[in-house]
Parts: sequence; structure tokens; C-alpha cells
Amino acid sequence: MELVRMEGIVKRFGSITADDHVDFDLMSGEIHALLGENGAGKTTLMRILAGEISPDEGKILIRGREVGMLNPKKAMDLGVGIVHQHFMLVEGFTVAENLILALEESLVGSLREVSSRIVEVSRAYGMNLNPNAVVADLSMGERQKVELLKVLCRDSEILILDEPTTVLTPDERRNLFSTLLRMKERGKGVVLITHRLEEIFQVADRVTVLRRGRVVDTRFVDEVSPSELAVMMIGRDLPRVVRPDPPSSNGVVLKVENLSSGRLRNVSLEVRRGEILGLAGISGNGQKELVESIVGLRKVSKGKIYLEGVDVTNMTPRRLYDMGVAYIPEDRVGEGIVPDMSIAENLALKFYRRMGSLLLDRRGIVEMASRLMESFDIKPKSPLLPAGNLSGGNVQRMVCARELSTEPKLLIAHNPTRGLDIAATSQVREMIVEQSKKGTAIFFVSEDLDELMNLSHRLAVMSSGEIVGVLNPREYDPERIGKMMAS
Amino acid sequence: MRLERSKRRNGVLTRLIFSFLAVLVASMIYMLQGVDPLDVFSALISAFTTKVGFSELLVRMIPLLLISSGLALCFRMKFWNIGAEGQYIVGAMAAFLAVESTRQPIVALLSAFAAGAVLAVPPALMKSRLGVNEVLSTLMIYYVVYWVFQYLIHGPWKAREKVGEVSYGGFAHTSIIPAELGTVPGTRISPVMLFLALSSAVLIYFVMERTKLGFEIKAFGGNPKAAEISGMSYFRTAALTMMISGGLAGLAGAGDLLAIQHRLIPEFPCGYGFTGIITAWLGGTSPLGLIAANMFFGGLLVGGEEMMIVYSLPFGAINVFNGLILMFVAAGEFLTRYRAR
Ligand SMILES: Nc1ncnc2c1ncn2[C@@H]1O[C@H](COP(=O)(O)OP(=O)(O)OP(=O)(O)O)[C@@H](O)[C@H]1O
Ligand SMILES: [Mg+2]
Repeated sequence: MELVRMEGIVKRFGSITADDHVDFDLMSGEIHALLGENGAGKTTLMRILAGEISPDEGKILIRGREVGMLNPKKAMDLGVGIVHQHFMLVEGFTVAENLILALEESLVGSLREVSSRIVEVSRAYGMNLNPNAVVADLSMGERQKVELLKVLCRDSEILILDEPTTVLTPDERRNLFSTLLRMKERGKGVVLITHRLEEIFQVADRVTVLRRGRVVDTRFVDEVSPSELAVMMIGRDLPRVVRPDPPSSNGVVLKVENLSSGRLRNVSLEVRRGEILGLAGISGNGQKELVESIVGLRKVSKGKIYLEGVDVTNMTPRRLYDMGVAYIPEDRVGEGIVPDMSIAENLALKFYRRMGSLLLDRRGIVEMASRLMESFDIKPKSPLLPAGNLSGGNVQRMVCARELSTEPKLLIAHNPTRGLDIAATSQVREMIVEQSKKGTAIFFVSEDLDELMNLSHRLAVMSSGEIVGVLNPREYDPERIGKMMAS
Repeated sequence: MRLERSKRRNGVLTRLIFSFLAVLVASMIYMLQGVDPLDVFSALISAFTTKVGFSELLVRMIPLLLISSGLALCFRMKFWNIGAEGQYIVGAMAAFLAVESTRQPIVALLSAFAAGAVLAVPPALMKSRLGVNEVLSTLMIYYVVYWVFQYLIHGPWKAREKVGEVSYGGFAHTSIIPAELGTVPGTRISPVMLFLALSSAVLIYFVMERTKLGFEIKAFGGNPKAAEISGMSYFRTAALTMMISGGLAGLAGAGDLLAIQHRLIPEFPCGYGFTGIITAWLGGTSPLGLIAANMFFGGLLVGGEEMMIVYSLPFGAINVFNGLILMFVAAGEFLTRYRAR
């Protein structure tokens, strides 16, 4: 049965046409993947289906019936559930409280019911979640699960998942996929937005490729190849980015010594000039604490951090920045940008200080920003647009542009390619590799093991707040690393 | 149900509409006190149409505009300074001391600015170092200042001398200050203060749009985490913002002492610091918005006082207006900014 049919959908934002006469349909019992570059209009199309954005043209049929003007409530009643790319959780609330908000349960008396529902559903779908945990304490992976739960608890028939796997560990991803397959057997329809081609081949039945707001084609997954999809998406196939030759000089840039605080237990590590040190681990095992301690966002109680031999333990982010530390945070929307400020202003968040005196050099900022937008290929090329309107990939390019433009000595990158399309991913990797060739020491924290093994000169593995081993490329073996991560 | 911020922002119009609704409701409340609502309106309108009314409106607009300009800056940073009343009082006290000892109004104004600025820093420090909520700290400092002020004018600063036949011994107030700011003949408007007040509205616009401080304020107001990660210092930004805000409030206190009251009395702090919260919120950081909001509230105060005298309404009656307007505008803001889903 046809669950959804969207015909001739057009959506414009000012001069940008996000979706340009898009046709899309979803059958019951199918997983339909939506693929396309950052900014191709995938999220916009699905937000239209979820009633969050009204289209300028086109019509929507759900179960064969035309629905007219949608709003979120109406879409929800029609069985459309959406899990957003960026989390929409109240950080100070517990998991159960967030669920209550989403499910519109009355507050009184339902907390216990919701808690047991959470336990039940999350167990059925293989996600381990404590209903009483406060969201602010959860890792990105765990937060994504809360978002999934919101929709799963509502029993939606039409499930939209906007890049749900970007924050999941390989295990969690497998679990999610078996959940999706189970839903499919029950006759539900799933739209899966993803940038990972291998996922499409793992679970999807059909795939629709969008490019600059237009449908390139809709194909059965059995009948296409990965490189065909890449060509459909960006017009060419992509080279693989690999680590550069190991650096010759070996001055130590970052040195962490016996760091213990919060979840961290006796962490020691070193990154040298021009070296890429990877950090592998399942999300929530102390990576965030480690990174935040190094960049000065978290007080360290025990242990020392040195930058080129200088003790920088517990220095403010500003001093660290002045000493040449750059940081690409994991939660780029929550921590990397000020959504209400323009792209130019966001790019200037660091360098504005070096320009002019007391006054803000506004012209200088826009000029510099335009240059950065050009060289880092940030689209659309309008420096005065609020940064909150950028697509995920462009937000990340903007953060990279800001951080790398300062010629840092040390770059700390936390999940920098998460949620990026294949072109952007390879661009960001390229930028990082280029930066390391210039002699910058790079501490590369990621949950994508393939990426880590391809890029790192050495790979540290973290588990329960401890570094359980540091491997050389000869020793890279997914099986072995997987075991170390779970130890 | 979920609330989502909508992008629509036709602020000024909705605020005006909701202010008007508040006036309607307020007049209904006055009606219960036996006042004809039409009289309420004519009293209000007279503040704008008669010469005396309008000059008194400006007298009240001056301190309000100074205070709310500073507050608007704080609010852009989402630093909720509600202690402007205390900064206003401390400004007046500093001006009093300065003019007593130097007889120079200029010195008095400068000391008032400095005193207000200094008083405003601790909340910024407490918030950035200890995480103390600024609403609590600013309010608490206000109370301390208020009672110190009352103690001083009932005790050490109380006037003892005789002026002609009248002895001041009985009532609590200070002696008349030995110098003053000039006023426009026939009114109580001080041209110097009017100029300073209007400049303050322009100044904060300039700060927001053209200075690095404004850039930092915007960043912290928009996403404190991102601002901090970028190396901006919360303490520095908050402290500077508060110093401007406190300084301007101090200036307002000095102006009222030097140009209008000429001595300190127990009723000197009359709530401008709190009314300024509302006007700052209504006006935002736009100079015209601030001037309009403060003229409107200046008019309300004048009209309200007239009603109090004519109908012998209780002293708090005028606050009904302030409260209602704040409530209505807040509700209006909420309804237009957020959509329930
Ligand atoms: N609210 C908005 N206002 C203005 N432009 C917008 C808005 N939302 C999206 N856009 C623009 O519309 C285009 C499509 O964005 P969309 O978020 O749908 O892309 P996407 O395919 O989901 O990309 P990604 O893979 O990066 O998430 C982009 O150019 C984006 O900048
Ligand atoms: Mg998207």
C-alpha cells in the first residue's frame, strides 16, 4: 500500500530553492533511503511531510488521501513521526520527562508509566536507556536514542529518520537496523536519510537521490552500485583520503599526563608535530571529558596538560586559543555556532579580536568571511545570512573554516565528519590532513573506526575513561580494536 | 505539546497592541474604584498634549531612558540585571557627597557614574565564578543599598540646620545641596540630562552594532557555550556590560538629585529602576524604540500621578499600570514568538 505520495513539492527560502518540483513516495513495508549532498533539500522535504514547513507548491497524499495544509499536530495524528538531525531535547530534564513532553501525557501520575514504557520499548529495540538519567549528562549517542524513543513510543506508521546513525556506535547501528527491519515487517514505512552509502545497501529497499533540490532518480537498491550513487549525487566519484606520511620532526605539542577527573582515569597521551593521533572508543566513555579538559572547558582536578612544554592545565579557552589551540566541537550546532548571528559573524567569533581596536571592523569581517567562504566552499555564499539557516554540512565547513584559519599548533577535532555528505566528508578529512602536513598536531576523536584507521598515524583506544592501548598502523585490526573498546 | 520559536518578529506592533490592551484592563480596574475610564484616558492624554504635562513627561523620561538603555544592553546578553534601582540610589548618594565637597556638578555626575558602575560588577563576578544567579544578586544588592540609603538620611546625613524660620530637624532628609544643574525656565527639565539620556540610547546602539563588546554581548546572548569556546570571557563581557548599565543608572540618580530634588528624601528612590526593566524590554536596543517606550511610560507616570491626586487613589494604583503592561507584553511576546504544537 502507498503510505505517502508527494508531488511537485517546491520550497523556496528567499533566493534559495531548497526543493524544486520534488516527487517522492513511500510504500508500507519499505525502507526508502534519501540521499544527497549537504543542502540538497532532504531535511526540508521531510519537514514538509511532517508539517513543520509549508511548501510553496505541490501536494501531499497520505494513504491515498490528499491532506491539504499540514501542521505538526495534524501530521502526527496521521501517523507521521520525525526524528530530527539536530536534537530537540530539554537538557535539564530526564529522559522520562522529555518523553512526557513529546507524548503530551499529563504530568501527574504518568511518570512511572512512561518510565516503564521507556524501559519496555528501549529493550524491545535493543537500546539501553535509564529513564531517570538527565539528558545533559548523556552522550550524543544516548541523546539520539531518546529522540528515537520519542517516535517509537508514539507508534507512528510513517517514520522519518534524519541521519539517525551518525552518532551511533557500530553495535547500536546494527541494533537500530534490526529495529527498522522489524518495523518494516509490521508494514510501517521508513524514510532513512543518510550519507553512508553502505547503510543504504544494508537496509534500504529503494533510494531517491536529490541534487540541488531536484530528484536525480529513484532506484531499487538491488539495481544500483555505490559508485553509481556517488556519481548521481555529486557528478563524479571521490578519491579516498588517507593519512600523509608520518612526520619527520617529532617535537611533542600536546602532552597529557595522568589526567583523572570525572570519568577519566589516569589518562596519558602525546601528540607530536604533524602527527594525527586518533582516539577510538564507544561514545560516552570519557572522550568528551578528555577533549573538554584539554580545551579548557572543564576543570581538571588531578594530572597535567602541557602545550609545547608549557603547563596549560586549567587555562581558560581564551588563553589556549592565543597559544594556538583550535577546537572543532562535537555538537556543532549547540557549541560551535551562534545560530542567530550571521555567517560572517560566526566566522569572526575568534579572529574579530585581532582586527581593529575597540571598534568592530565590520567591513574587514565581511571581507575575511567572504574569503573563507570561498576557500572552504560554504554555501550559500551570502555572508549576512543567519548561520542557523545553513545545512548541516555547511555548518561544519563553517566551523572548520573558523578553526583552521587561525593556523593552529594543535587542532582538536571531535567527530568532525559526522553527518556530512560524502563530498564534504572527504573535504573535511582533506583539510585535516593538509593541516597536519603544515605541522599542526592533530588530536582526532571519532566514532567511525574506518575513518580513524585511514587517517591516524597512531590510534589510542579509550574504554571506561581509560586509555587501554595505543596502536601503530601495523596493528590496526577492527576486530581487535572493537574488543579493546568494549573491555 | 511542544513549543517552538517561530521566526516571525513583528515586535513593535504587537507590543503596542498589547500595551493598549493593558491600558483597557487597567481602566476597568480603576472603574471598580469609581473612576470613569474616559477620565483615565484624558488624564493620560493630557500628559502628551498639555505643555505642563509634556514637560513633566520628559522629566520622568530622562532617568527612565538612561536606566533602560543600560538594561537593554544587559538583556541582549541575557544578563538579567534587575538591580538598576540600587545603582540609581548609589549614584544619587555619590553625587550628593561629591557636590557637598566640591560644589562641582560635573564631578558629581562622574562620581555617580563610577559608583553605579562599581556596584554593578559583583553580580557579574558572582555569576561567572560561583554561578550565582544574577537575578538574586542584583536584587539583593538593591535591598542592601536601599536600607543603607534610608539609614544615612535618617541618621548621619540628616539635615540639622535652619533655613529661615523652618527647622529641618523634624523630618528625615538631607540638607539642600550647594550646587545644581540648570533647568529650562518654567520646567524641571535639565537640558544636560536630556542630552545625556538621548545620547545613552544612541550610545548603546553604537555599542551593539559597532564595538567588539557588542559583538561579544550578541554572542553570549545567542549561545554562551559557543562564545566561551571561541575564547570570549564571560566575566569580562558581563562586567563591562554591567558597568555601562550601572553607570547610566547612577547618572540618572545624580541627575534627579542635581536638577530636580536638590536634596535626598526617603521617597527619592521611586521605582524608575524597575519601570526601566519594562521599557528596556519594550524598546530593545533600538534608540527610537527606547525613546518611544520611555516617553509612553513617562506619560503613564504623569497621568497616573494626576489621577491619584484628583481621585485620591491609593499610592500603588499607578503600579497597576506597570504590572499589567509588563504582563500583557510578556504574554503577547510569548504568543507571537512561540507556537504550540
Ligand atoms: N529556514 C531556512 N531559511 C533559509 N534557508 C534554509 C532554511 N532551511 C534550509 N535552508 C536552505 O535550504 C537548503 C536545503 O537545506 P536542507 O536542510 O534541506 O539540506 P539537507 O539536504 O538536509 O542537508 P544536510 O545533509 O546538510 O542536512 C540549504 O541551502 C539550506 O541552507
Ligand atoms: Mg539535513
